[in-house]
Amino acid sequence: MSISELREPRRRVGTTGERLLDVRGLRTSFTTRDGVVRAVDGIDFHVNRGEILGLVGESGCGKSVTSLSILRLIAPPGRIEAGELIFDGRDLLKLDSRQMRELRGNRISMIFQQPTSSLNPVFSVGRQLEEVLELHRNMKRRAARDRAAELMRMVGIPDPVRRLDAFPHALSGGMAQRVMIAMALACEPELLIADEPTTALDVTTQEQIIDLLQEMQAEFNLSIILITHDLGVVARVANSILVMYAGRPAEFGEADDIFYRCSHPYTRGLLDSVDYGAYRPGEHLHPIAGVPPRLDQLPPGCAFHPRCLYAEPICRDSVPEFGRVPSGHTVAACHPALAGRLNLHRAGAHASGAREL
Amino acid sequence: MLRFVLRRLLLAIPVLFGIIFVVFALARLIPGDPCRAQLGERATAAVCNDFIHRFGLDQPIPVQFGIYVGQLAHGDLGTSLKFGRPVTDLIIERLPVTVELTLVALLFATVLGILLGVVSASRRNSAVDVVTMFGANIGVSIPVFVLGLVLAWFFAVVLRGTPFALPPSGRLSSGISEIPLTEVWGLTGMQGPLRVLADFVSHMTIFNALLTGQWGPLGDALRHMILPAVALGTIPLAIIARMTRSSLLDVMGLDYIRTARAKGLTERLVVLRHGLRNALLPVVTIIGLQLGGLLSGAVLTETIFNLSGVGRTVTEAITGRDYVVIQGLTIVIAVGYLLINLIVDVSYAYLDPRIRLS
Repeated sequence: MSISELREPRRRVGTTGERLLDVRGLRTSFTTRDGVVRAVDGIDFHVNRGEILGLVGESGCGKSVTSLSILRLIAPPGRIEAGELIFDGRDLLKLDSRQMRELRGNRISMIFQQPTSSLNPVFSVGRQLEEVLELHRNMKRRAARDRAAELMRMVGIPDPVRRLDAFPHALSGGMAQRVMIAMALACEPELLIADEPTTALDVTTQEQIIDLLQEMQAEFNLSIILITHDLGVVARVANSILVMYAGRPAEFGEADDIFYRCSHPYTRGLLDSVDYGAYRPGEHLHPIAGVPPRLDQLPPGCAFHPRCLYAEPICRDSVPEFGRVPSGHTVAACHPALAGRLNLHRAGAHASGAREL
Repeated sequence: MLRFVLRRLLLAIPVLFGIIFVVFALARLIPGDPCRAQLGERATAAVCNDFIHRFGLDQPIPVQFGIYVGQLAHGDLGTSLKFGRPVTDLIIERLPVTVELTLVALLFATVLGILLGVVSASRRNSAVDVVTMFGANIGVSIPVFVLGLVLAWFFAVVLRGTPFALPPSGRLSSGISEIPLTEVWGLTGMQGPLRVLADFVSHMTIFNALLTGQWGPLGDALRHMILPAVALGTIPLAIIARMTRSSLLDVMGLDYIRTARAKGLTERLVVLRHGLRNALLPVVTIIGLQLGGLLSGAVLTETIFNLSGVGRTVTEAITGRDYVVIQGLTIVIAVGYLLINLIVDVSYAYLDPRIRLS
C-alpha cells in the first residue's frame, strides 16, 4: 500500500478554513540542574476549524510539551517563555488562571497516551464524566448522569448505563480511551488535543479509536491536534501536518504538500522509514541513521545536521529560518533548492542525493 | 463487603487463640511468686499455701490453662489476685481512660497530620514546608516520656498562674465531678451487655460530658486531656504528616491528576478530590499501625500524667505478678488491635475500589 492509497479524499464539514488556533513563536523551557532546556524552541503553526492537524516527530521532540503548553498545563520547573497562542481571537497566554480553567475541558480538551492511568482509580467512570458536566455546564447530579450515559453510548461503549458505575481498572485500554474521549467531548469543545491516543493500545483497537475520533470530528465540526509518530494514521486522517525535530519545527503545511512535496530532509527521512503495511520483495525500509540529540546537548546550527544526508558546512553554523517554500507551506528553509528534488527521490535515493551534494 | 468482614472475623479466631496461649505462657514465665508479691516478703508458708490454693495456682499449669480457657468461653476473665475484684470490672473502669486518651491523641495526630502534610505538599519547598518537615523530624524522634515531662513542666510549672496553664495530672480538677450517663439517663436498673457498654462510655469523661450536656465538666475534662494527648500524639502526628506529604507528592505526578487539571478543575479540587483520596491509602495503613504504638505509649503517658488507664494497670499487675489481670488486659488489648486492623482494612476497601472487588 502506498501513501496515496491511504489518503482518501476527506469529507469536509462545517466552516473549514477559519483559523481556530494560531501558535506563534511558542517557546517552552524547563529549568534543570544543568541549566535551562528548551523543550519547544519557537514553533509556529495553526489549526483551522473542523480540521485535523497531525503533529509528528520522534520521541522527545517536544510534541507533548507543545500540546500541554496550549492548555497551559506545563508544571514547574517548566515554563512558557515566549510566544502567542491565539485561540478564537484571544491569546491564551494573556488569560488569568480562572479564564484558562473555564476553557480547559470545555472549549479545549485533551486525551492522553495511557488511558487507564489517566482515569482516577478511586472514582467510577460515571462520576468522572459527571464531574466535567457539573463543572462547566452547571448540571445537577441526576441530569449529568443521564448525559454521561448518553456520551458513553455515543463513543460506542456497550451497556453504557451499567458501565457508569464501573471503575477504571475494570476497563480495557480501548474502553478507557473511549471514556476519555467521552469525557473530553462532554462539553462539545472546539479543539481536541489527542496526545498519542493510540500508542498504548493494540492494533485493532488503534483503528477503532482513530475511526471514532474521525467520526466525532465530523459530528461536532471539531478541530483535532493529533499527536502521533504513526505516519500511516496521519496520512489517513490529517488535513495538515507539523513535523517537529528537537523542539523546532521542521516543516508545516497541508498534508498533501508534506506527503508529496516535502522540502525538509527530516520529513523525507520520516516518510522513508515507515512501513506502510505491505512488504515487497527487494524493498527495504530506510531508517534515519543515528538518534535524536539530547535537548540539553543540541548540536550547533541546524539540530538535524549530524543525521542529515544533505548536510553542508552552513548547516553547522546557522539555524535555518522558517519560511515559505514555493508550494505554499512553511519549512525550515535549509535546502530550498532541494525542495523539488527531494520528492523525486523515493526510497533508496538518499545515497545518490547525498553524493550530488 | 459483608463477606469480606465476616471472612476477616473468622480469620481472627485462630489469631486470638494464639494470643491467649502466648499471654498465658508469658505471664507464668515472669520470675517471682504471686503470693509474696501480693502479701509481702514476710508472708508465712501456710498463708501462701492457702493463697495459692484459693486462686487455683497449685494446679498443674496445663490444667490452669484449661480452666482459664473454659472461663473465657463464658466471658469470665477471672478475679484479680491483688484487688480481689473481677477483671471485667477493672476493664470497664480503666480501659475507657486509655481508649479516650488514645482516641483524642489519634484524632489530634490524624487531623493535624493530614492538614500539615497537604499544606507541605502543595507548597513544596516553601517556608511552611521546610518548617513543618523540620518539626516532624524532631517530633518523631522525641520519646514520649521526655515530651510528656517537658510539656508538664512548661504548661503546669512555667505558665502557672497564666491563662495558658494546663493541668498536668488526673482527669478532672478537684471539686469538679461528672454525673455518669447511666444516672442521667436513668439506666441504673439496667443489666446485661448494654449496661456494660453504658458504664464503659460513662467512664470516658469527655464523651460522658458530651453525651449528657454537662458543659462545665466537659471543658475541664478537655483541658486535662490536652497535655497527655499531645504527648502521646506527637510521634504519630509527625509520621502521618510526613507520610501524607510524600504520598500526595507521588500522586500529584500521576496521569489522572493531569487529566483532572485538563478538565478545568481548580487546583484545590485537584488536590483535595483527586489527589488526597488516593494519597490517603498508605496513610490509613500507617494510622492503623500507629495504634499499636499508641497503646504502648499510653503506658508511659498514663504514668506521667497520673491517669488510671490500662497502661498503668498492666504495669502494676506485672510488678504484682497478678497473672489474671495481665492476661485479661493483654487479651482485651489484642482484641482491640485486631478490631482496629479490621477497621483499617475495611476503610481501605472503601477508599480503593480495586481492593473491594478482588
